[in-house]
Amino acid sequence: MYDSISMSRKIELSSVEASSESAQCSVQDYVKRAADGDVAAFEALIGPYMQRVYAFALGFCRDTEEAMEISQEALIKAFRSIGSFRGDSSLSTWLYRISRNVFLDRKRAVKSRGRDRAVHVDGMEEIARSGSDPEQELIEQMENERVRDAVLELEPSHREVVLLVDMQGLSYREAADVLDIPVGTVKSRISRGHEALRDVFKAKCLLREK
Amino acid sequence: MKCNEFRQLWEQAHCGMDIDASKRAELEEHSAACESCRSYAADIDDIKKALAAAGDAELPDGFAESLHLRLAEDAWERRNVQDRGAWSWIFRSAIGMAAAAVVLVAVFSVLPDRDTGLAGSETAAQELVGTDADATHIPADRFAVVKITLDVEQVEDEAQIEVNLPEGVVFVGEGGNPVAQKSMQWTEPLEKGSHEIKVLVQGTRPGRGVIKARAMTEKVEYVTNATVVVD
Repeated sequence: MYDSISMSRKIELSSVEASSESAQCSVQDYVKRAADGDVAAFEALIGPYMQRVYAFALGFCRDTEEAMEISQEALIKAFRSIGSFRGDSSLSTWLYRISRNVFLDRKRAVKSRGRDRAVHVDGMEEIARSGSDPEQELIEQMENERVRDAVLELEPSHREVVLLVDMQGLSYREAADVLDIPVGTVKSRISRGHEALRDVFKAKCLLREK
Repeated sequence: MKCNEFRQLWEQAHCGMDIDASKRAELEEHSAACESCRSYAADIDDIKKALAAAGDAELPDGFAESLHLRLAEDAWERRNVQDRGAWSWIFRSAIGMAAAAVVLVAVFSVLPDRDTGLAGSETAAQELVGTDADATHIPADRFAVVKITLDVEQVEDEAQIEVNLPEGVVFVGEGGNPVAQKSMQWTEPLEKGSHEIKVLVQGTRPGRGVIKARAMTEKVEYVTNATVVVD
C-alpha cells in the first residue's frame, strides 16, 4: 500500500519537474507537506536524486558505508530543513550543497579525532547477486573504483568540481551554485583538475594507448 | 592560438558552453596542427567518459528502506520532542531485522522505580484501558512508536511475548510497509522489573483501540495494554 502511494507520487512529481507554474505549485505542495513531517512527500521529492546524492558522497570518500552514512545524513538534514527550500536553486543543487557540508563537517570531526579515512571495497557481493555477466561487471566496477581513487588524489577544490561537473553531470552554473563560487572559478578549476587527472590517469595506466 | 588557450577553450566547448564560430574554427585549426593538443583532447575525452561511468554508482541494497526508517524516526521525534533520547538506536537495530520481515522492536530494559500500571497474573483477564489523554495518538497514515510497559515480578528464563493490534492500526514492516498480521509473537528471557516494549505502527483508520501485550511462561502470565487513538 505504502509503496504504491509513494511510487505514484514519484511519478507524478517527476512529470512535473519542469518549471511550469502548475508544476512549481505541485512541488511547493510537496515541500510544504514534507516540512510538516510527511515522510512520503519528502521521499517523493528526493526520489529522483537519492542515487545522485549517494554517488556524490561516494566520490568524496570511496567507502560505501561512509558514503551511505553521509548521503543519508544529508537527506535527513534536508528533511529537517525542507521548509527553508524556496526553489531559488534546483532541488538537486540544494541537496548536493547539503551533502558537501555534511562531508566537510564529518571530515573536520574525523580530523579533530586524528583518525584516518578507512577505505575498503565491498562490491563483490553485489556483483554476485546482479547476474548477467559477472566477470564484465567486476571489471567495470574495478575500473570505476580506480577512477574514483584517481579523483581522490586531486586537491579538494579541483575534486569538487570534477565530481559535480564530470561525475554528476551538473553544468558549470549549477556547480557554481553548489559551491557558492563564480562560474569562472569553476571553469579554471575544472581545467586544472583535468590536467592533474591526466597525470594521475597516466600514472595509474587508466588511459588507453593512442 | 596557443596551447593553453586551446585547452581552456576546448574544455568549454566540451561542456556545452557557447563558443563563437571564429573561435571554434581556431580550435580546429590548432588541433589539426598540434599533436600535443590533439593527444590532450583525446585524453580528456577518455577521462570524462571514465568519470561519467564512475559517477553512476548504484544505491546499496536497503538504502531506501533504512533511509525511510530514519526519516520516520526523525519525523516522529519532532512530533514527540518530550520523548527524545533512547529512540535512535532502536530504529537502527530494527533496520537489521530483515529476517523477521517486520519491524517490531521489542526492547527490554530494566527501569526500576517506575509505576507502570501493569497487570499481573491475577489480573490477566483485566483490560486496562486508559483515557484518550493517556493514549498514544497516531496521525492516520503516519508512523508512531507505541510504548507498552510490562512489569515482571520474577526472573523468567523464557517467556513468550505476544502483541496484538486493534483494528485501524498495523505493524510497520521492512521498508516502511504495513504488515498484514495483527499479532506478533516471540520468545525472550525476562529480568525482574519493568520492561518497555516499543512497537512501530501505522494508523490506517481513525478510531480508538487497545494494543494488548502478554508475556507468558509456564506458570504466570503478565498482561498489559496501551490505548491508541488514530486521529
